Amino acid sequence: MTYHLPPAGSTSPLEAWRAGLIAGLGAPGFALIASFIGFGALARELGLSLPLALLSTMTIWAVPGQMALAEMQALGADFLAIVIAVTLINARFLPMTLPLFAYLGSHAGGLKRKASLYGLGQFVALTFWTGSMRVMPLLPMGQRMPWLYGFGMSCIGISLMATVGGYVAASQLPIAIKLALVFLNPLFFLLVFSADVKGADNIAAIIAGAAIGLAVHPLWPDWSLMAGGVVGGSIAFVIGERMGARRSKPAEPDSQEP
Amino acid sequence: MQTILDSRDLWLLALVVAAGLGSYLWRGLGVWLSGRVTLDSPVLRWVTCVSYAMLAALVARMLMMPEGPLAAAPLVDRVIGCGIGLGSLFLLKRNTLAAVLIGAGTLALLSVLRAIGWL
Repeated sequence: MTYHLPPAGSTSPLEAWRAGLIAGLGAPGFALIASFIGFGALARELGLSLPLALLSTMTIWAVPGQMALAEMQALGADFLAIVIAVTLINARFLPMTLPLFAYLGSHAGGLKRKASLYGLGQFVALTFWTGSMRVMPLLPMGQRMPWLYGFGMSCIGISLMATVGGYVAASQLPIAIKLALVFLNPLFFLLVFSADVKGADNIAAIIAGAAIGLAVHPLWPDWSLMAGGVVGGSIAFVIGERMGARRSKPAEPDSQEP
Repeated sequence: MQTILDSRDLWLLALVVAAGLGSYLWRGLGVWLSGRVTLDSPVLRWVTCVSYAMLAALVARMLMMPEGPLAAAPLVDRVIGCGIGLGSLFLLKRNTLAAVLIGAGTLALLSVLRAIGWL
């Protein structure tokens, strides 16, 4: 996948911002459109209103957490159970944010510098991160932040439009299409798990999380995600550390991590 | 004056805002920590494992024990849709987007075939 860059030799922040905006309209845009059409359709089918579906795209800004929220509120789960589930499912943003922001240099500077860094943090999610990690080394320091802002704004803009599209489509289209739309996201993550996830600990986490989550769900639906995540993830972590003790090489950050 | 928001709407609004703040917690923490900690620490590996396991639990539940319209599709149709999606992924040299569309299309097709009585 290639991403739109400012013209060679340019150092203008405005040109970088514009290039970032255009980059979001390419291939990353297609992935977001499919994903958020799927989420919009799911939100409608699970009884979430369109304004709340859009607000979740802006605030949670990552389909897995949004799917968890839509599903769990439809199941009648506890407020706290839902907030904790969404929060933990998004814990992967921490290891994603660290290497990306390392490209932006020192935090030193006034309030404006801090505000722009923390504001930029809100954009971190799979598609944004994958593209940004690819582009950052190619840009001079002064163009990095503007490019990221442009890219993030077009990613969220496209996703908001697709959320509306999926929501409306689910109310108008026949059941067969509706089924296909709500199937898009879980299938997408199944495929990512099957092909792109690297590292023994992460693969073990997926297997253990799925097995424990399914086993606990009929007994304890509110907390089955938490059980799968915390118990399954911890088992996988222990397995990974045991295996890691034998090979000393640190793992590369995985570019396809969801 | 007519009440525009009922208590369920307010509950959902508070839920979306709280879940958004919970998600930002990691993003903000990541910005704050960038440049201060190394990426290969045990705490970060554990956090990644928990996040993966939780996502897998969600995806497994949505595919095997779904809520909403997917619950109306028989398990065998959902499994066939996943199988065709996975098969396409490897045949299409890992083009995830195309494989997802093929798998979801398969589920739609099966549902049409059932509706017209061919299955």
